[in-house]
Amino acid sequence: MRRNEFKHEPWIKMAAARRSLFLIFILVPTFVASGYMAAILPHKGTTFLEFLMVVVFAALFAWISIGFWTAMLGFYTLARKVDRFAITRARDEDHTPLGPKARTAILIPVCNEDVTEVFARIRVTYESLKSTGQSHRFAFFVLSDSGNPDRWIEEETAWARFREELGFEHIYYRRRRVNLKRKSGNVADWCRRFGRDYRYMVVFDADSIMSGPTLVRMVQLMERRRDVGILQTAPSCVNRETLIARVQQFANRLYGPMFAAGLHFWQLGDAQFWGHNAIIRVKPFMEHCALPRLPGEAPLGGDILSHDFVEAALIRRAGYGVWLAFDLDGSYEEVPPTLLDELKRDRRWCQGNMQHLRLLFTNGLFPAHRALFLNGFMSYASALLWFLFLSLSTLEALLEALIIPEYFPAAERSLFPNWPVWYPQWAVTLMISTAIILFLPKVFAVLLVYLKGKTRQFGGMVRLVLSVLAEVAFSTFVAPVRMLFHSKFVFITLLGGQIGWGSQNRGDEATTWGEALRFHGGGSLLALLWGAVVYVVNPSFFWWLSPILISLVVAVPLSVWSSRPEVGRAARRLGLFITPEEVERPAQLKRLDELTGTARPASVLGVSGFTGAVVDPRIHRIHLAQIRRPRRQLASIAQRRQELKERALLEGPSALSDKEKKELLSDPAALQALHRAVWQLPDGEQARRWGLPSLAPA
Amino acid sequence: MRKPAAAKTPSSDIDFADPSWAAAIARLRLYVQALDLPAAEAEALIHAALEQAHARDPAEPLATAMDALQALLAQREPIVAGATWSMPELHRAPMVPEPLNRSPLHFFLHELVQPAVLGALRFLTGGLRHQRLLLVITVVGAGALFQILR
Repeated sequence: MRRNEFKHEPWIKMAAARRSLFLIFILVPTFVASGYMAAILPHKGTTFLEFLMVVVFAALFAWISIGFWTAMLGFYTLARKVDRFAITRARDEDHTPLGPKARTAILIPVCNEDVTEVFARIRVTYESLKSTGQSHRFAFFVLSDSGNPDRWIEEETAWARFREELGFEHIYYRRRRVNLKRKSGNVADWCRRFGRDYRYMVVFDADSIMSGPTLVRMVQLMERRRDVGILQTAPSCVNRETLIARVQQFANRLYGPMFAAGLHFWQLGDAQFWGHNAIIRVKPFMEHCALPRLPGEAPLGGDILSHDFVEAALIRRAGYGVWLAFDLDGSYEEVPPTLLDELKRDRRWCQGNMQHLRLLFTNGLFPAHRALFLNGFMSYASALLWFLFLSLSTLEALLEALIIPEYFPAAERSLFPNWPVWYPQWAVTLMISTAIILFLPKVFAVLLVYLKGKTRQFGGMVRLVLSVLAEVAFSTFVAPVRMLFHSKFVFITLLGGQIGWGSQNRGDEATTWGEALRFHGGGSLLALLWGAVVYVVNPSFFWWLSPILISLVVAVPLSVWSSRPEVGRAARRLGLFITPEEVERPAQLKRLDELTGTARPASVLGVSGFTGAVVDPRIHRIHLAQIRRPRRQLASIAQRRQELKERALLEGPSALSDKEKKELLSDPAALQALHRAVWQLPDGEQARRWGLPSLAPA
Repeated sequence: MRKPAAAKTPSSDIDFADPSWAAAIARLRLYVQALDLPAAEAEALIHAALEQAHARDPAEPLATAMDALQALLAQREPIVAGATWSMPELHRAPMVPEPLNRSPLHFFLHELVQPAVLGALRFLTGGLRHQRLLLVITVVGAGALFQILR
């Protein structure tokens, strides 16, 4: 199972040393802070409730310490400018052209995405690749799981146009009829069919863009380092205009490089795979990374949802390294445009990460990957712990206010009273320490940008500092909302609740008041009730809790306003949340802007999707070339399709459901018959339903 | 949408004033226009389709003319340049999951206890220096334990 030839790579010993240091950095302050926390509590952590509070606090403190020390070590790495273990400093590196065996497939799995945008991004990547003179070593595969019949046809049409317009033959399109195991199944299907022909594959998301030089460089690095199984880039978040997305983009661009460098510092060859914008060595991936079904039913059983972490752990188990190329730029992705979209995505990820707990004890995994499984789980479980901590604190505050203390417990027989003591100044000290752990990395990120002379890329020093302050304020408001949702997700998943896995919204569409009320109304109500009870019973504790409660109460307007592109653009006009890509647009993003504004209609008849496949002779023929030849059918099936065809002809395409449309699209004989029949429709209402213009002279 | 090209009269005895023939011509033009065929070829196809339709069934000009056009197009290869199979040749290879033992007990015994025991054994048999060190640790440990228990 494990390849021993890479067992003695020099980074392995260094990783052990760095991780030991990292662990000490986390555990020692956690131990000290937890002791301090116990000392603050009225009964010094001696009651069950207080003991539980201290335990939860310790877990949370350790969790935020991981982030803090990752950032600090990242700062150290970037400030030193050199890390001899950085994957980009591969041994015997040169820049010779890629050999004929270094064939690389770029896989773009899509599922009901905006087709124009997807193909515009592919085109940008292709054009950039072509400029390197190495594009003949690459092939693009658009792997569709789209269930929407209109998207299916639009994808085929866009693919055919791409080939025709660019004269590039090595772009392929495949749509799966059965969407087994979603994205991971789609990639695995590709591996089984075509993987043998390629040494590497670069996996994209539908919103990924990568520059040609970066792609070529990644292949070169993989060629030099035979021990690397997966090489992950740290994508820059770009192109969104809503306020929340711009805040995320800003945070990603300012703090992201530091965190990525920090992750690299302690992970080295045991890094994470994030599922996209990464290059993978195909052969070992096929041999070792096929994903089994977990026993039992969803949500914790069945298909593995968050496949990337598991694939990284499996390829590492096979002896290959997984590296994060933290200093490789030219890799882009987009963030969800609204808070609700982000939360919907998080719900999927939450379920996926919780499934990983079932793989925690898998034989042969490296401890670092077991830790990453736990880390992924904690990304969501920490929210539940935080919620638990707040609930326990509230309970403690209420009990302290309602129950009269026993000053002379009978068991102790003491002359001196047993005072429950509460030192607010100690609590303030602990709160400040926690705040430092949370916010100091942000200060260091600004310092790093200043030291590197890159403040202009963020709009100048003043705007940068103002943006950081605004980002801190915004994050502080949004954090309790996320906490509440993540707690709910963990809770629902543990109770066996299932999660849909639809396509992501990638457009800048604002959240409506109704949607926001439906999603956040319950949380706001809870916060109001919580606040009212605490205020009546223990007013002094209410003020400690108020920042969290206020955030929850204003969640509805926060969600709506932060989802509006015009608010994001206004922030930009004020010079807030400026990112380097906005100050100086990279060539690939400039080209994307040009392409998205100049999309040509797919048909001269003005029809597209299912209607296009039926009516437009060009789209019709492109589609026919992609589906199976006519086959013998059962009489009942033929009869049903005949009825479908007649209904469609009579009432137009809107009379058919998506399922019925797909049935016709999959049957070449039925589709051809419908095509002929539509074109033979006499001029009138029926023909117009199919988009055919009037034949009467103007 | 592009405007259809001006009608060119086919050399036959078709009555172009008849609205059903005019509609058939307009529909044929729309069809070839959507296919983006070269103008001369498109005109020739329309002409041939109309001739065939007129010869076959002049009572149903639209249906017969469309049938005739599609039959003519079927002889043309390729009708649409991009209408080809969209994937390269298949080269199948297996990709099957490796066995995963997820048992915590197996993990505890084989990945925690076993390596620890083997490591200790290796240490014990690793040379005189190791054995001396182990002796010192044992003596100190035993002394400490004795003190605690006393």
